[in-house]
Amino acid sequence: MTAGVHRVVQRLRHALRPDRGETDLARELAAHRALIEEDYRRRGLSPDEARRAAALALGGVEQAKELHRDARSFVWMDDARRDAWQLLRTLNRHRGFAFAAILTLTIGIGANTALFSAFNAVVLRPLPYRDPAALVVITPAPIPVISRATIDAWRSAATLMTGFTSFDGTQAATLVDGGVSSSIDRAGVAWNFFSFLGVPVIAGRDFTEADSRPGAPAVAILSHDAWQHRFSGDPAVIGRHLDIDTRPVTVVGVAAPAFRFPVTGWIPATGVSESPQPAILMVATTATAINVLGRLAPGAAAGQVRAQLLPAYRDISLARFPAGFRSRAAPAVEPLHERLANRLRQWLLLVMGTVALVLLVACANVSSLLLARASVRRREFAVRSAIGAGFGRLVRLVITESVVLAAIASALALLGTTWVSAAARPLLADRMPHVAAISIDWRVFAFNGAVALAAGLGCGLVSLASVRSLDVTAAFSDSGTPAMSGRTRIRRLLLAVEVGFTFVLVLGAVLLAQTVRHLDQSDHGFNAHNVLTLRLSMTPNRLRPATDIGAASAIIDRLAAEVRNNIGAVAGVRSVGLVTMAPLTFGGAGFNGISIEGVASPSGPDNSFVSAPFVTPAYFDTMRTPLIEGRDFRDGDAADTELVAIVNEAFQRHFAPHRRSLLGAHILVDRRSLTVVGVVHDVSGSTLRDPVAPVLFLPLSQMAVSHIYYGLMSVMVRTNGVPPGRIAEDVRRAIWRVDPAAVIADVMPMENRVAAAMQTERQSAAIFTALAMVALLIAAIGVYGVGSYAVAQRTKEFGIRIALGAGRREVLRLVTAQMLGPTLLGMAVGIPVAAAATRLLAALLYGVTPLDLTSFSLAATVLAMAALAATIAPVRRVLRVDPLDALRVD
Amino acid sequence: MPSEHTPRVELLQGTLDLIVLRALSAMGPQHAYGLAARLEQVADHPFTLNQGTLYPALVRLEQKGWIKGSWQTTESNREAKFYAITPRGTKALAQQTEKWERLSALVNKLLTGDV
Repeated sequence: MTAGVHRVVQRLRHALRPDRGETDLARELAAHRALIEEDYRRRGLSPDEARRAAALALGGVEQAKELHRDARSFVWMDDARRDAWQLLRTLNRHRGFAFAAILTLTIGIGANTALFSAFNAVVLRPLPYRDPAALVVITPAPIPVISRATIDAWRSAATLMTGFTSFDGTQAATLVDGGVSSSIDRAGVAWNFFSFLGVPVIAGRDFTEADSRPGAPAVAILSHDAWQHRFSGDPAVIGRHLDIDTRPVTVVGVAAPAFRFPVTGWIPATGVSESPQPAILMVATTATAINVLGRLAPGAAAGQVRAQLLPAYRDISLARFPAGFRSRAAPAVEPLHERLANRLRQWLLLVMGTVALVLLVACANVSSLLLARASVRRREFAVRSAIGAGFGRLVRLVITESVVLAAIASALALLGTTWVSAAARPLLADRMPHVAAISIDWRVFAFNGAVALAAGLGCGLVSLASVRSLDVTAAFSDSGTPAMSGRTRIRRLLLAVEVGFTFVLVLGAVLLAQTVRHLDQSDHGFNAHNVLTLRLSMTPNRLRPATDIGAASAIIDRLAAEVRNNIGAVAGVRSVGLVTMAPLTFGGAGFNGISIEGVASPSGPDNSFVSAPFVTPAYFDTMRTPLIEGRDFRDGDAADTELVAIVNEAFQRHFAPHRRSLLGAHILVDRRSLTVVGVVHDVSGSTLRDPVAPVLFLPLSQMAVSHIYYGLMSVMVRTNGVPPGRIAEDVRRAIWRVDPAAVIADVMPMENRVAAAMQTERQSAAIFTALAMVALLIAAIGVYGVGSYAVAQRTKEFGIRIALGAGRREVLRLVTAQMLGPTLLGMAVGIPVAAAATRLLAALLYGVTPLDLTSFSLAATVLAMAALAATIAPVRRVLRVDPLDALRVD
Repeated sequence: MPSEHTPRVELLQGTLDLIVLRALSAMGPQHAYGLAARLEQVADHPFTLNQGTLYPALVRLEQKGWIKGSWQTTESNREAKFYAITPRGTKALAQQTEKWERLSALVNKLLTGDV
């Protein structure tokens, strides 16, 4: 229907630029009239009669114009446009009001837009790879290492997959370029890594299969960051020979800027997220891969693929492992997008909810401002009403006002978001996988618009109360106080709502701050200061001579001893310990069905799960985990001596609550008897916040007692005060002297791991605190607004009261009651609301309950202080009231 | 039939547009007064054409692109906006006329035939 479309376009054009149509019509009507007149005169009428007859024939000119306008354009739009212009002129006159309202709304809308843009980038937007929906993460169990032969076998066997690639975790490496050394993140990737992900190589060339052949010269591709920051974007870097960890490497290419390694936000098995850094990517030559990605064939689902991956994994990767492992083989397949988003979705929803509260506080404040202004506009409305504006027209006037304010705020918020997201990028870089991709796209734009519209309509609807209670006669009669009371009541109610929501936010911030403090200060059973950690995998090429698990264990034990000796000889190293599960990385390895000889379990057989890390001697000393009694493992604890174990205090509490000490007791586990030779202090297991669980430490040298095998071990190195980062290079070289093919990953100070484990809490606390401060500021402005309005309205009354002999103190009491009343009401309502709301935070809290009394009082105090501070200015004005001036107000 | 006794005819919604199109198609370019005079003349009884009510119809048709208005001078050398039917308007007139005929035939049949 082109004619219809054409017409709508024309009407829109007229609605936006009505003047031309209007003058044209006036001219046409005048001509029309002249023609009739002329006609009638020709028929013999006198000029006067002709004029009258012409007017009669033409009908009401104004009415015709009105009909024409209706047909020509969209009248409501025209009205809205005119109202908006008029409003902008009025706002210019009431700059204080406009400033306060727009600032408040900008903060509210801006916070929402900024958070949404993050949410959008992380959860809603596809990953920046080719066909990202088809990418899956393959996580094999029970051993998280896949041989390259397995991947090759998958390529032919897995018909539901179109391709695979792999990459190792990053590690800090030493880059030597022209005699100057610096640190860079290094990672091994499969040769098809970039082509598989669809990440373009913007300079030089991509890896080729030939690069991965044995004996091929080592080549590398730089991340864009590394190219820019380490080589100043010099194109001549292509073909340059660098020295990475003392090995010569040739740079062949530079990856596209959007690409970050690890596959942006990759979370390795340790649970420690790595932040994107300048990285150099080299073709991995190790026989095993740590992280494997696959691409689903069109139409295939992640769940169907598993069965196709199982045989090759079981028969090739696990070939040298006992049958028990092969029967438990289960590669997990999970869409990459889900893996990345799941970790964040809930947290982001919580933050979005919080930021929505800030918007509500802002809206309540603006509604309150609008109501106050409505008393100024009362006269205008009365005039409009008297000359025939209907209720609907007045409603539109009020709504237009708030929507225009919101629209201005929305534009400012978009500008602000661009700036804020740039500022938030470094803060969120670790947590948000695609933080680099945060930008304003149509979704952010639409969200911003929708929030602004909702806020505008919401504020407008509340202030409609001013139209509803409009009493034309009262408005014209000069003293206008009576009509005000209803509005004042609504304003105080709004203030109470504001205070209530603000209380919830402040309480959340206080609880999270307490959490961070508790996490920081509580005893986690180890001292992370001056400790370097790394993950090490020396299997399976070095295990090849082993014919059975016992022999394999002996080899591992020997290798571990060599590693310890070599690292121990590094300058600056005080002690070295190896452990299969470092603190904060406890996984699901351990035993069920433990019992203690001579101790009857009160409630029948105890089948609870106990983590069982294997450690080398000196591990506890290295971690500064206090030995409560007994002794540490020693080199004399070997496969053929008495089987020994060290338990933690929680173990003792759990299995032998009535015995003073388990020292010397025999633990029955896995059909073997272990003698307890030591008891150590409790240590945080998988996270900083876990309740401390029973742990059974076993010596690595006696690993044969168990059917458990760990492909990866953590090496913990305590320095004699040297910063751990400084010895990283020497430690790596010491390991490579034992096994040149060893995969070393996640080289970092232990303190970084601890910080990473607290990251969620720290960031949540920071965000909540920022939002609570904003809400607090808005609420304070609200208190101030209501207070100064009350003072302005009642100056005369106060003057009379004072003139009649009332003390200023009494007047003061009146004013403060006006301001603090709603505050107290808001807090009274806010406390139960907060008690319910903080339950949503429970998962983030540590060392403090959602109903923590101290936190509640602290939040209430903060809020009360802010409210009191906001009353100072109005109160001072009351104190300055001069009865004579006050009486002269009218 | 003496015209004084005929009830005044109210134009059916939408028919005015059709009538204007038809008049412009038959008479060539006309100004609003010319159209009004012509319509009053054709109708053998006075129908309620308040001349101002022509304007919404004219603007509707113009916005649909079916007629086009331009300022010209009359024979008596006065300025007036003359409306002419466009080729698209001619096509639309044919369609609308057919539609109207079908509708009126149906209405006639319903009103006079045995239902």
